Amino acid sequence: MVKFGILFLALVTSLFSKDVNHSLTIDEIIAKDLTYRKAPMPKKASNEVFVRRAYLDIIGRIPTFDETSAFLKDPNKEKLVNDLINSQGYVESTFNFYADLLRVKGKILNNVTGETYIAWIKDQIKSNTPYDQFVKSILTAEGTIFTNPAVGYFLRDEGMLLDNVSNTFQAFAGMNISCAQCHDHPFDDWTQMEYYEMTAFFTTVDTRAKKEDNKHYQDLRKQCQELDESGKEKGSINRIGQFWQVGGYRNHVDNNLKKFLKLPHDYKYKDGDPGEIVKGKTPIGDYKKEKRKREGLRENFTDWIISENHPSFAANIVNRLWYKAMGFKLIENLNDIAEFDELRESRNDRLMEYLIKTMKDLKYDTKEFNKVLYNTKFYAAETDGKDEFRGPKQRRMTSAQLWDSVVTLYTGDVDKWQPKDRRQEYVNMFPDIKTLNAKQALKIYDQYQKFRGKVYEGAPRVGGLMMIRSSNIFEGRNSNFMLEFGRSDRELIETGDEDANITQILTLMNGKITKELMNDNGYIAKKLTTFNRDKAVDYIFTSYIGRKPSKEEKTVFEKAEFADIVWVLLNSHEFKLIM
Amino acid sequence: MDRRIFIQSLAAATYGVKTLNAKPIAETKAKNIIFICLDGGMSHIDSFDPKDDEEVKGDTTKIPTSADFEIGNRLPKLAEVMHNASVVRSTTSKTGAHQQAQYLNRTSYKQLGTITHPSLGSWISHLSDRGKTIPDFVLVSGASSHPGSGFLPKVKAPLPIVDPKSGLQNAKADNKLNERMALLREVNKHISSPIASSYNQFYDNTVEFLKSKDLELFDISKEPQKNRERYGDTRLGQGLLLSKRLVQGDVRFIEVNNGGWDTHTENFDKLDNKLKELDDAVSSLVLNLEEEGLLDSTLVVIATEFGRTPKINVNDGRDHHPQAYSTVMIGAGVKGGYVYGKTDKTASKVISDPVTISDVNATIAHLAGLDVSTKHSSPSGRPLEIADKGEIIKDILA
Repeated sequence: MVKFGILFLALVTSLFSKDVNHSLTIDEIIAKDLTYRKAPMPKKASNEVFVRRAYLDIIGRIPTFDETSAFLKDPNKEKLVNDLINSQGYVESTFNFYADLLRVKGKILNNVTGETYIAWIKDQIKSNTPYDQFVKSILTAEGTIFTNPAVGYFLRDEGMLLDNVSNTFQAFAGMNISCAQCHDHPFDDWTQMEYYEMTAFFTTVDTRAKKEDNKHYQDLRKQCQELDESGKEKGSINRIGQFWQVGGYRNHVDNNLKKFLKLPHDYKYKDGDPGEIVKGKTPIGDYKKEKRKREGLRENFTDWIISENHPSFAANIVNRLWYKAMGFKLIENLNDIAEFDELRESRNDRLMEYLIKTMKDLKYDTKEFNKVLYNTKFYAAETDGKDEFRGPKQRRMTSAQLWDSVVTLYTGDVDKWQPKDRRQEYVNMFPDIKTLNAKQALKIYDQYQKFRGKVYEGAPRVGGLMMIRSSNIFEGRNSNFMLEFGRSDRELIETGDEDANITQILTLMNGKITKELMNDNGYIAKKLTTFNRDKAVDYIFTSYIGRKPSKEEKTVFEKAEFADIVWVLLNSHEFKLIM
Repeated sequence: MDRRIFIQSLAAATYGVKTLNAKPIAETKAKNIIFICLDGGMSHIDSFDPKDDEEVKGDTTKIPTSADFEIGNRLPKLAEVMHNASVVRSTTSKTGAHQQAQYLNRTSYKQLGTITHPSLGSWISHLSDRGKTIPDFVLVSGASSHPGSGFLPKVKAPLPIVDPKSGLQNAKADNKLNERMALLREVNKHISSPIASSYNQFYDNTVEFLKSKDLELFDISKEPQKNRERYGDTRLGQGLLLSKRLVQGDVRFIEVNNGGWDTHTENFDKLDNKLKELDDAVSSLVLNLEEEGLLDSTLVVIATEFGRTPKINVNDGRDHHPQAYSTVMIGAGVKGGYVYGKTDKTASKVISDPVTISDVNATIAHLAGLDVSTKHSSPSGRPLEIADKGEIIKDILA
């Protein structure tokens, strides 16, 4: 038998493609490095393994029996990757990626829904907005959460501008400069002054209500106070306060050219005095400076961060997408990939360089970039349990992959239920506050109360659990399963993990979802009623772990009941690990 | 297999995690700690810092205690155990919002957008190497917003008990467990990788655990009827009864959360219930620990988010009041029958010996045998101490 390694080299060095084939070049670079290090070459994974992995990594769930069978009949990997990237599942799974990066919550602020912002992000993924433009929309957004949902990024950190800027650097530049928020960075070149100069680009961001709106709101409050006291409408004051918040009136993003950033009262360096006004300035990459007219400050900053010469903007997204696909990082800490203006050492600098160039050549088309990654031979190799750069790293499913796979097993189609896009309805519901009197406002608030509860209308529920995509589940009771399996709480950037703990094992053994899958109501259980025993066992095995049972396993499982087989497969390595 | 080995191997099996700088801790006063967090903010005026001022007292009156100070009349049973307690009446904070106050309570730090600090239980778990590694940190009735282990390894996160009555979730062993495990081993046997073998170990240990007596630690139905009744059939009562069992099993730090204290309306009616719940539960816990000879080595802390306004609002309620509130410490390592700090006539502000929640947490950490002055480092290299810059309240130490 020909060793896959030789085949691998032969393939990557062949010149059958006239166009630039980035995937091929990537494989070439990896192969060269392995040869140089005299390390063994990647080994090709079986088609069964590949199809399951591609579904999990690209659309966030395991394939169904039918999907697995279809691929095995016609194992065209490129077509599969293409189809998956163009499916709804890609949108949902990619949304989770951005939600962890941007710390997206179901409730943006205490009384402000994240619904429209979430729908907007999904839209950007679906229409494949180039990543740099996506970042630009977020960082330059103005408006209310309804008229321009992209303001969600700033509203989320309302009142915490310094923290927001620190997170912006981590999320989009992979730079951790938060130390410099309070003092010169102890082991990097960032000074506190530079931190403030960067933050200054965002000082005109105003998240509080406009004066005239506020004035009108105070009028409404007075009217409500009278309503309260007259006993006509009790609780009016309380309700108008809620209305002010939920309607996006209290907090929205505006540019206020009269706002300035000042050095903190305890500023201790010689280059400035406490309380002194700081002007925007970028210390690295293309030099940008605050102009006399203070308009377009955020645009200036954004142009700087997405520019060709920024040291880490492209590298940041490359490193994150590579990690999502391959399960290991080229530069170790996703949120800290640069030292001042230089990228940190990566596990393969030539590869990193090439990936960055590819991302820029593709003009930040992340769908295309993902296609490049998922079409490499490297991605199609057997997983690497020891982290030797011989293939994607063997890892446990993320909490979202686990949940979405379980829902797939139960319902057959995790994306069948989709939330209604209610962005326009929100816009219509909350008109300019100045046009409303108290009674009208209170009426709208009551309408909203009913409207709000209908977000999950029609969502399938089983035993109190909502059987819908992880990407539609936010903080609260329905997220408990995922939190247990390491979902990020989205307070900080990308804090999810795949570590094991005892409560996870107990949940897989005895939890509610396990019981639901073991009883006879799930989609697979129903399907099985028409099959004979042999076919049924094949079907369950393939549905759960992507392969048929071996002869030996068939014998061992001869007397097992449906529930037992489900329990065993759900708890097996092949289920929860991405092989 | 005994519990010790069980948890030890659980820790070992959690890959990707390194325990740094764990060292044996010094002789400790408080071997075990029960940290009660009353969420919503308990009224100090109606509980441990009652006043005579007609404007502020509402219907709360003072009652004598087993020590030489008085507390509110809704706590008659706790009054009988005050000779074991240090009541800190001078806790003060700048944080009047729930979420931020809860965070501060548990971590000693102000909540920031760039770092999650570890909760006190996780620090204690992280820094104690007791040579016996039963769970160090159990969280009873905790919310999902709990900061948990913060930036420390996830293995230092608390073991959660959602409902004290049902004990450890999903821990009922099925009679088909053996049969299924045998089948599972068959399916798993051809997969070999570091991650697969650590999962094998996890499963084996979990099965052992499900069959062991350790499970009973989490099962309050094993308690005598008398105990189940006297603690009160309430969330807090049953939570503290469970905590007592966990102390018997030598769990190091048990945090019990209890909500319902946010009495913006009908303060006094609500406190009729809430303070009774607290009174029954904590007094029974203290007596029970004493009976079992555990009070000398167990510290019980009653902490809350903030106090409540001396002014009674139009809805007969009290609003948030972080300027002054009470914290109570009972048992191991603290003076009994002692009051520390003082508020003014209306309980509005602290007039002597102010302490912050960081000071309270520093004191607990100190009693747990940790050095609160040691500088630790966050993953990004940020230097910090366990309890921010909290100072030990030396005066209340026994």
